[in-house]
Amino acid sequence: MDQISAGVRDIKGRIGDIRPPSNILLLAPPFCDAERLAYTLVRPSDNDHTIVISTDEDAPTVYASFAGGKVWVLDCITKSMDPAVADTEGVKYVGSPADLTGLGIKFTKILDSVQKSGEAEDAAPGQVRVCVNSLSSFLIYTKLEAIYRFYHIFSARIRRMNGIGIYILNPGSVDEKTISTLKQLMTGILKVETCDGDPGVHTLRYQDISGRVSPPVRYRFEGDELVVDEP
Amino acid sequence: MIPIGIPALDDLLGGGIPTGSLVLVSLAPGVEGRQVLHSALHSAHEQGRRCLVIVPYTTTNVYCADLSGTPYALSSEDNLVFLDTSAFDEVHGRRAATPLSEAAGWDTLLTSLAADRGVDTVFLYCNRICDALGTGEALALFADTCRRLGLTLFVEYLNLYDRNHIRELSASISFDLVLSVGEGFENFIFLNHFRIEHLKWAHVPDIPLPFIIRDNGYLMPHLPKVVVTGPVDAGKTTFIRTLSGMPALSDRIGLSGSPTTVAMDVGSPHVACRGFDLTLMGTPGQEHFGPIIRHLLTNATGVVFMVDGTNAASFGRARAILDEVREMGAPFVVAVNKGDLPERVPDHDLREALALPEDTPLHPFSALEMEEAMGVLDALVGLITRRTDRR
Repeated sequence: MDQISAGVRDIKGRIGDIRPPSNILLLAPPFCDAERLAYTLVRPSDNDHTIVISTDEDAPTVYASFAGGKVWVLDCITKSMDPAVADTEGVKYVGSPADLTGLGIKFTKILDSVQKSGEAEDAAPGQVRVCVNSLSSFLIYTKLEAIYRFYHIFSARIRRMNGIGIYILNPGSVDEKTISTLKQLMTGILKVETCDGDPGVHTLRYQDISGRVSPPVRYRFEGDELVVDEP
Repeated sequence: MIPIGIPALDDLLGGGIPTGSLVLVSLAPGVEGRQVLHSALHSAHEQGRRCLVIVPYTTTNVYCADLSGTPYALSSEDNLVFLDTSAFDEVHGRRAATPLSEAAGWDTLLTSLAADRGVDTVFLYCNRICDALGTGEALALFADTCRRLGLTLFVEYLNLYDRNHIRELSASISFDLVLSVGEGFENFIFLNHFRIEHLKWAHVPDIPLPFIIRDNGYLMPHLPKVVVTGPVDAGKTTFIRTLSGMPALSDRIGLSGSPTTVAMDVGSPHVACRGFDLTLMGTPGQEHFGPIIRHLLTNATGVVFMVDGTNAASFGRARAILDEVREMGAPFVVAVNKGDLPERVPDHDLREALALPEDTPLHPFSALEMEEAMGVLDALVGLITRRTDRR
């Protein structure tokens, strides 16, 4: 598995391959099914591992979005409501998105578990796909400079392990400076827009590091499946 | 004195932290090192100190839940005051709040808690406050206020920059101890390390010291590869067996009629010395195992070089192995086994045979005696943790 195509063959055909290592900023306004799109993009294939860092949904909700596969969740919201909740093999908790120290430590633990899991199964090393849902939430708690520094290190780790990272950001919640700062960490940008007068249908464009922008792709979700409209 | 509660670290610090000191603990991103502040809090609380925990990134309940079930769980709520995310929101979220007004707010809070609640020790998780006030300004504020009030201050800081950043902070703010926790240790990428960057009340070499986190969350300093080497029949396997109790040994009956190591002896990982866990690895001694010995010495954290002090015939082979040890550059001690026997070769002759200078100490001992064997290990750990020639 060396390219990001699981579940989105049609998108792949239209915007080209997104090859690892990649860090992709997913710019999506609210009500655009950004999580579902991101989860579809990071859905694990056979030997792959998906890690979701969630500030917006609890771990069971995240798991429900994946039909199996090796999925690990770093849940940043449950512990504030249930302080006694304990880490499990697949789910780690941090107290809030403000706890970048805890987040980094738990992310390292998950990567260790991923590595051990691969060694235990004696399988060919799979790809690690990470979804950060969402940068917008992190920016509520922590200023841009610290977030930039943190994700600078974070995205470098993803690059080093030849992984793929998808980072969701609501462009309406931040200013242009924030977006252009965070873009510096990325190798591509997926920009999602709603289609006026066509509820449930969205348009995405992909811009790679060279600045090349794909033609718009109209898509919608039918159940759990992402369906791409013919041009 | 407040012990941090990590014996190896406390040993280096001369017992712990003098009261009224200012301590900065800098963590690299993703590196598990929160145990340092957890341990210091646990230790101070056990001493009956009145502790203020400023934890702006979460709630008091979450913080305490994170400690529970670890070796650093707090035994009671007595003598504890928390300022958590709600206190942060109150100071930071005030209408028209400015960095200056927020700084004044924190200063007022600390001053009143010291006066009204008798707080004498402060544990600060500073990143959110640094985010609000600026790193230098926030750290200087708490350092100055604690110094003025005579409080002991422990700060945990997530360093998103590099080591120079900590050096700059250390130069501009008068912390008494700056400790950094970082990723990796030499070629052991699965280990992390701590390093004393600055210490006001004693001299400690600026070297990284590795640690592991046990399954129960306990931070344990760990020397990952202590190699025990020397010529055949020097007593290496006996030494490891005496210290470890349950070693995995690979000895077979040799030509001399006594067991001899044919591959590598591995001591139990729980040999403890000066607060460090050590993994002991014993090499074979015969000449034809030379390449293996060199291989086993690679990346050694320290070496116990052992010779049978009564067997002058082995000194030639001993010299060859010692030359390999010197060439590899790891710190080593010279342990003279059977040092309690009258037929032991005089030190002067041994030094001459091994080309050992006068300032290299010899450690005569018996590999059968636990206390004496531990003394050899103690000398080596002291050498590893206090030497100044390695960065």
